[in-house]
Amino acid sequence: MATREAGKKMIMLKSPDGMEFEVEEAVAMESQTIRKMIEDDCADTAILIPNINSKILSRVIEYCNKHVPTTGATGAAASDTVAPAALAEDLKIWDAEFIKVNRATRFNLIQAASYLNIKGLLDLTSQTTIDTISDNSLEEIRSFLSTKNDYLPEEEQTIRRENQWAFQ
Amino acid sequence: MESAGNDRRGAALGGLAVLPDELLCAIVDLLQPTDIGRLACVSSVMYILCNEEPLWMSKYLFVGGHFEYKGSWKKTTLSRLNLCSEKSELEQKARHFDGFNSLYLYRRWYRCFTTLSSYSFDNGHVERKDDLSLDHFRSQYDGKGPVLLGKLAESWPARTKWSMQQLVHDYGEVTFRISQRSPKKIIMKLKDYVSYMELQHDEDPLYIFDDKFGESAPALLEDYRVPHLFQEDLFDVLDYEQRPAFRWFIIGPERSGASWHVDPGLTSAWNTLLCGRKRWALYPPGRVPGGVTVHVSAEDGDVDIDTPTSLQWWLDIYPHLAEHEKPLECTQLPGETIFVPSGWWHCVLNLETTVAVTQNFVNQSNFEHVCLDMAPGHCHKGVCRAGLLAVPGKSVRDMENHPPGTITLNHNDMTRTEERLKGSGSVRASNSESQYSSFEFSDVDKSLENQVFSYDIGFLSQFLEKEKDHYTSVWSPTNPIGQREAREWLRRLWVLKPELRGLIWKGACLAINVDKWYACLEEIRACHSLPAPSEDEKLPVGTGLHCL
Repeated sequence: MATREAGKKMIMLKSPDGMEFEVEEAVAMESQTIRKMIEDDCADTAILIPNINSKILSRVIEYCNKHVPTTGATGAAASDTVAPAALAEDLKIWDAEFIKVNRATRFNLIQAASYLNIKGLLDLTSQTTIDTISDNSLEEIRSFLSTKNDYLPEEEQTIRRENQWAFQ
Repeated sequence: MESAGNDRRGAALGGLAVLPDELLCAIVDLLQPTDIGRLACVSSVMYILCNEEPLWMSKYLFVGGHFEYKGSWKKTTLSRLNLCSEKSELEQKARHFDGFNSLYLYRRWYRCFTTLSSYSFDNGHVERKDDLSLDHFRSQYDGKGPVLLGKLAESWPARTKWSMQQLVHDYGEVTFRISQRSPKKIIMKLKDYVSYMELQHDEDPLYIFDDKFGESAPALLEDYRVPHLFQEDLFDVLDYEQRPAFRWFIIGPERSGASWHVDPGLTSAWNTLLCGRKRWALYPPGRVPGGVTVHVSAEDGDVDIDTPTSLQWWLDIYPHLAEHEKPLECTQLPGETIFVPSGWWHCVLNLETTVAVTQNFVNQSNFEHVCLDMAPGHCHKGVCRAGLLAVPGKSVRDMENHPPGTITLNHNDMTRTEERLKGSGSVRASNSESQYSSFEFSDVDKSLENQVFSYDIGFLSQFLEKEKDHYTSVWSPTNPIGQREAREWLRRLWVLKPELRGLIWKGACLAINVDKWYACLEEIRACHSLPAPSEDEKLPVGTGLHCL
């Protein structure tokens, strides 16, 4: 394939709301879905990403930009001789900041990470959701997820009894 | 109906409603059991997601340990974790919530409860013979194609002794190994396995696939004989502890079965069925089945296969295959032995509870292939399994008219470089089962007809990476034996099988470049005017001291 030798080949990503993002191919290929499209030659110059609006897509690109392996192509950080451990720590801090978003954005990010098959982002967003479920009371979970308690009162009682083991 | 469903779903899932059911299940699967129990109390749809049996099976596999099935995976897991001591606590009514439906959950449920008793199929394309002479077998079948043999096991005691009833009676307390990929080891007594088998409705049931039965239940070895056609096994020269796993005792219920694979190290195999029926599908070497992706690591030659379960393949992919894309198929009946030649892809589905024994072997026909597969590098490993799809760079793209679905490309990953090799009809851009039905086929089969892929060793060995040397390159972790053992194996063959030295030399050239080392040896010898090595010492393997 002709794409190999060019370190900086650019790819255009289009969101359904009409925005276009020009990104390095290596960055776009953090998404396994896009990688397959490129490898299978299904991607010419621009790839339409359905279901992911420009606001979410720009966050996803931001994430991929940060996480693309720093083997030369990505500029500033790569030239420094940073120890891998320090780099990993830096990424962790960056991730923690990155994920401080509102609920809707986070769920949209999960969806996008899943569709685009970006494992790191999917793990990060899912784990944050898991943490809220693990640490909180039922009411807190409901309010966090904006979930409605749709049980009938007696139904809820039975189910609580059935799941008593989980509250001990 | 759709809108009513969405109403309950939307309310009960809140913000999470934007996610598809498959993803929701994956997220719930990340939770600890007690968190799952609590989440079930949040809302109706959460309750449904938190009570799915596949979820609890996955939770159990994560815990592992001694297995005793309690009638459901949820009960089994909670009891294993001591979260529920009294049985009564666990009793729960089947609950129904109006206005929620899920195609994803339904399809999964369907796979768990579908019955396969009438799923047998045989168009006679795999030949059936009662028995064969060794000469006939060698000239017509060995290294060429599969065959079903009806009378090889006629005199085995196993024909009567390996019924489930008798096995439980004789070996109920014996612990067997199961094949499931799980983070923790799972062990179980045969009697516990049998009660599990009777009660379960799993899509991919636990499957006894035990390579150590000769140690845990040695008497089983008395109940069968290696059929006369498959007596030769060149791994026999190794000590039992050194040789790779070669025989398996197999018990599995309806729906279980090995998904698409090529046998380890390009060995050949025979498999004799004692109880039940197995449906087989096979493709010749180099022909990757639809829906299957082969990964070969460029770093260490590690071979990894991405495939749906056997049941999922037959239900979701097989029906969409065009006639010329269909595999070779047969249904193996009790008492029959199937021969699977080296390099052949195969996939098996148990149509009811089956008991079988299988052995893998290296004989003169596949010896060079087995040696080739041990050689360092990855390209030849790819070609042996995926044919010309695995040829890097120039090849496939230039030579064929239907590139989609057949491209191979190296890519740099944080961890390793891999080649991704896909079969025609491989699933596109999605691992969601619901999309299996929407994949496109590229007509790889036809376009490769003009190519000269051959499973011939001369053709395959062109793809060896000449500059890679077994002393300096990584020995692949998926090779059936280690590097040291491989050298020892060749050395012993050289000494113990003088009649095969021509063949052994060729194999040793492929696996460990003995020709190159021998040339070194000759040079050193000439230089120091040392005596020529005796015939027995001629193969420069072992400690490597020769060449120093």
